[in-house]
Amino acid sequence: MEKIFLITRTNLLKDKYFIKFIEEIKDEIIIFSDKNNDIRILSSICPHFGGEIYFDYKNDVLRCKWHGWKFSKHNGVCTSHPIKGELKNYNFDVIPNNLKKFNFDINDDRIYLKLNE
Amino acid sequence: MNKNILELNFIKKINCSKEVAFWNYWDHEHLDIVHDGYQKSDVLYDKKNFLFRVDQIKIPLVPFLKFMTPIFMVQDNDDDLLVYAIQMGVLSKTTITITSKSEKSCQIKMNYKFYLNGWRKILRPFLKKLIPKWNERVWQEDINLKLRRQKVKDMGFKDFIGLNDDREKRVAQDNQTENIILPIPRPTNSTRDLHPFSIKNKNK
Repeated sequence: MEKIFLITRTNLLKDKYFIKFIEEIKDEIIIFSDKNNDIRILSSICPHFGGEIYFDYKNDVLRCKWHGWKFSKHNGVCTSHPIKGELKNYNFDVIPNNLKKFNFDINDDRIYLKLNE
Repeated sequence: MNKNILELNFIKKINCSKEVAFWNYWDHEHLDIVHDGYQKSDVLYDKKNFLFRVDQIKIPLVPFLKFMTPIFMVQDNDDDLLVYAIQMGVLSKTTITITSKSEKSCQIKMNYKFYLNGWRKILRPFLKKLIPKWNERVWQEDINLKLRRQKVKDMGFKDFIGLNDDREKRVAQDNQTENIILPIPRPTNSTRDLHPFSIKNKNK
């Protein structure tokens, strides 16, 4: 499967989205991380008239800069108007994906790492 | 020249087709989202080549001052768009003349005329200062719409659908040079059609 390198660090996506035109797929994409830190990649060309899509962090929704139309961050479907066009959803891998997860407890405003779980 | 008329001209060039430039003027749904100077815009009636709209405008030099202005727009011929308005009690006529320079570039001439009879004469120095600022601001805010619209059209973009699913077919279509069809379609629940006087407001 063909893969295209996009950005250097996933933590760059904190409260910041990236818009990039990818020649190989002849599409412009938006890369963003939502409130749950889930990274998503969708087309950033609004199917209405071609405006630029941005991620509205406050409302956790994708919107068009030209007309304010809203789109689902999950599947790119327009949620403000019933139109046929939708934002294409792209699959991606985060490589390397080897961040270890640790369990922890919070007690008295202190965070305790649980080593034996 | 009538002494009561204040006339101002602006000429700009941009790398988009004449059709894309006219599309920008006839797309009313972007006004209050893209432009700082527009607070609200209601389309009351539009058909074929004309439209009647009511806008709430914020004045650039005195942003706390807002006023409502009725606007009549007509695509007079392939080259000229006329906009009649009454702003702060002043009748104005704007003529937008767009000339193709190449397949993807055009020249836009904006001619503003204000009818300053009676007490309105005192507004002449204010308008002379205000209109160039207004014109430049609106121009800057619209540049991206024109350039990007041209870019997506070059990729075969279709309104309300988007790009072709087949990447290989993301190229300009043969009908690129066709004139825009007015009025530009709006969805049934468009924010432009919510005014109780709007012909398209089904809940009025």
